[in-house]
Amino acid sequence: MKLDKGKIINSWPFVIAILGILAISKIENQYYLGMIFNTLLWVAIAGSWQIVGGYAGEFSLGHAAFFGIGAYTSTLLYIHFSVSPWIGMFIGAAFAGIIGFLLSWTCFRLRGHFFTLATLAFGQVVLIIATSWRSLTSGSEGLLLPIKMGFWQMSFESKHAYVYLVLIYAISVILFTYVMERRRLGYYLIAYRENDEAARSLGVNTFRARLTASTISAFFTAIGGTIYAQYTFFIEPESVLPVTLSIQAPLVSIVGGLGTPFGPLFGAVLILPLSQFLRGIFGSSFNGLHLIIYGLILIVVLLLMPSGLGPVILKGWRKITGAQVKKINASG
Amino acid sequence: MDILVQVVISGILFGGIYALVSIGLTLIMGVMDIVNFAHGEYLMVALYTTYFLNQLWNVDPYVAAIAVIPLFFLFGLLSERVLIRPTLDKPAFVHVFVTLGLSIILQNLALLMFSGNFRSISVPYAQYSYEIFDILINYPRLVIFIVGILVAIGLHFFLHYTWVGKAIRATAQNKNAALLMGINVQKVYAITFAIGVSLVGLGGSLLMPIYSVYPTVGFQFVLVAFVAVVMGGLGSIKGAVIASFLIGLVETLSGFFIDPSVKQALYFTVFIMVLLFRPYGLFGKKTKVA
Amino acid sequence: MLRVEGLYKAFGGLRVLEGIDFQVAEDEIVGLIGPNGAGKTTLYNVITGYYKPDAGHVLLDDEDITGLSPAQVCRLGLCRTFQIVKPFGNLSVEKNVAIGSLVRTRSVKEAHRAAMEEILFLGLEHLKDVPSRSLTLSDRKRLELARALATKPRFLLLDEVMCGLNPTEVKGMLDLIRRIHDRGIGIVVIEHIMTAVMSLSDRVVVLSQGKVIKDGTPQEVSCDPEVIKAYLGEGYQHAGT
Ligand SMILES: Nc1ncnc2c1ncn2[C@@H]1O[C@H](COP(=O)(O)OP(=O)(O)OP(=O)(O)O)[C@@H](O)[C@H]1O
Ligand SMILES: [Mg+2]
Repeated sequence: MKLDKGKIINSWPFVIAILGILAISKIENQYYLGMIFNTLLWVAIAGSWQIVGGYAGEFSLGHAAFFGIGAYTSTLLYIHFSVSPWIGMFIGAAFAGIIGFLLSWTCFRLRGHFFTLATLAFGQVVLIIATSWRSLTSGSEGLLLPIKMGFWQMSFESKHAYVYLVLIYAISVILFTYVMERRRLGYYLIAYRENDEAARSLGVNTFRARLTASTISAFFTAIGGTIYAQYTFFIEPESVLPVTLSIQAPLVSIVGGLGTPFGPLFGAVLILPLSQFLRGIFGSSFNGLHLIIYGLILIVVLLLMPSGLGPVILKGWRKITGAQVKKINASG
Repeated sequence: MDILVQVVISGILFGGIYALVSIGLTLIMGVMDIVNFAHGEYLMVALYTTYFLNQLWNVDPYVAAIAVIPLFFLFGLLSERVLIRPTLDKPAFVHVFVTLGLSIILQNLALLMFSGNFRSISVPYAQYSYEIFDILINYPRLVIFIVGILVAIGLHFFLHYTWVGKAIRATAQNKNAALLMGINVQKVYAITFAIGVSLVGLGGSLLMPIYSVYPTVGFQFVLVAFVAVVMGGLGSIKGAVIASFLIGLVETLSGFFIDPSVKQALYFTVFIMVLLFRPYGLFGKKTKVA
Repeated sequence: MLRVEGLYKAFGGLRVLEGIDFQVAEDEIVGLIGPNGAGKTTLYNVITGYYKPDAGHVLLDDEDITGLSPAQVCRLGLCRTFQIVKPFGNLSVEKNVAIGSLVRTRSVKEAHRAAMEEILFLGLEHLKDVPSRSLTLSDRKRLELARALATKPRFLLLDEVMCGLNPTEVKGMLDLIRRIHDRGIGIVVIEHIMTAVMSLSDRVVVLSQGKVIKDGTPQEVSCDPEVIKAYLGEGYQHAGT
């Protein structure tokens, strides 16, 4: 077999990724581990959101609801019926999938802004239900998870375990998106996003494609809810159902490049460490300043680069590696 | 029974605030085809402005309104020019996040400068009431109600009988046709946005005597205003006003009969229902901006 | 055999289709003409399921397909193009066409292979990687055709595919339509360029104010006084210029 030097160069990102993954086990600093956990969690949440938001272009602002449904379902099953969070995670995800299916089934006939507003309202309804149904959720007091370590309990002493868990989650979402983009469903969603009428004239059942996508999107989002709950051992409506989550999910995707499998990765790597860093600097002394800066950066990025930073970075990367490939080819 | 009537009246009167917020929102949505997620934060800024005018120089909130309206008109023009206009030729999500970003910035600016404390002012007339047929009508609420109605009527005449108003309506109906007719669409957008913002400013001043201000106060109001806009039919000022009073009523009634926290879930559900079954609103026909 | 029986369609008070009857066989090219606003595009929209008719039926080989969704209609072998072309702007030409092929296969690989066949047939191979939004009008119209052909239709409904093309391009398009027809696909063409329709069609159906006022050979139609009154007088002049 001939060794393709260009291929080796282009596989650098994977080599770096694998080295990075191995390096995680060497990191002992809890702050950085937390940062990595957060970033990867957001890669997955944004990735889940964009299955329907980026590919079908259905701009949901209610995805916190699915995250919260996942967190509450597995937690309640665990507390009351000692159901392992591993199983609860999939029950919650399936439940969120059903809710996502029903929501989309009713709201997909709405166009543009109205779909967005309806999903925003839906997110608020779920938040309010979780806050006021005290007998079930104990309202804003929140739920404390039983602190009992063990694999079956999805509860671990070390943060490393959680980082690897969320890493698998993030990789699954990216992998799913990557495959979906190359399958019929991906083609159909993109066709819908580009032009609904034309897609239908070509035999695409755009409604069914979108329903499938939003069900899967809700499913994946909910898994994040369970992992988060197991990580923090405590959930309350404001932590797992906030409107800020519904906003940040599309935001991360947009900054990274909408409708690309690796967009959420770029977006999360750019945004989350930055916002944690800003909070670290200003959080205690200048309450709110980090969010002001965050908002400013957000506006500037959107106005100057509405298709996100991801494509820009990718282009830069290709330029570097592309040039090297050419050099090698010329010399070899 | 008496107390019920009392509750009903005060609810309807309070709807005036929702009217002032939602009229601007519906106008901006109908004409510019954008959702202004920062609309509630303009209300918050107006409340703080009124609050500090009162605390620092003892300016009465109603007098403050006279300064706040033109100030907010300029504020509206400025933010349209700097933030909104650059988004109009870009995909729809850009304006969504730019207005959301503005809302984050304004909220946290308030948090940074004034802390998260609830602040309120005390004016002697906050508790004044008129008594009509044994029913007490709270003075500041009555003012809110009357001003809300007057603004709606005034705006109606403005849109139908002035040149600028007609240009706004023409732009709402068909932007390209308006362009061909020689209407300066950019100017129309700027004015529309500024009018929307100055109405929220007015709302803030009128609300201050009976409400507290804190950094996130705008969010609840803007959500309610979205409900009113959709119920009223996009771009319909009359619809938004009627829906606002209806919401004010439902809100106080449900606060009276059921858990106050449930009331919001109730009208968001109503909101989704209306969207689904009456996509042009409860009162709306297929018109844009009337 | 595609058949339309007593189709009615109104928008509010505006009666656009008032009892349309006509049929097309697989071995025919039928011209559908009529003045602006006659209801031609609306007829396509009703046949292909974008609008539900107020009354009447659409039959494909005696099977009633009235009220099916556009996607279902396409699966049954009836595909249309749009008067105002609707490319998937950010996608390459090849992907545009592959989306059409996906109706007939689940495999994306197979779809791309089938798409390339149509792209070659249409002579778009040099543009296959170009995003479709940067195509010229003429190429966009070809792309619409390629996409439609990729769905392997039995009948093709074309809506003004020659509108806006220069005479050379029109000639190329005429040639292309004949070649499509040679593949055994029944074709309906809506067209305003009279000489083109007359030379192309086996039969011409004239629509005016929502009614079929004439259905016959090109000769018969162009001699019919009523047609001339409704349309052709202006049309021939237009075509002559
Ligand atoms: N969705 C709709 N709602 C209301 N009226 C419509 C609608 N679609 C078409 N019409 C009206 O129906 C009539 C017929 O339109 P149609 O597009 O079918 O004409 P056409 O024969 O294709 O004309 P042209 O040659 O200009 O394309 C026109 O008066 C048009 O305004
Ligand atoms: Mg037409």
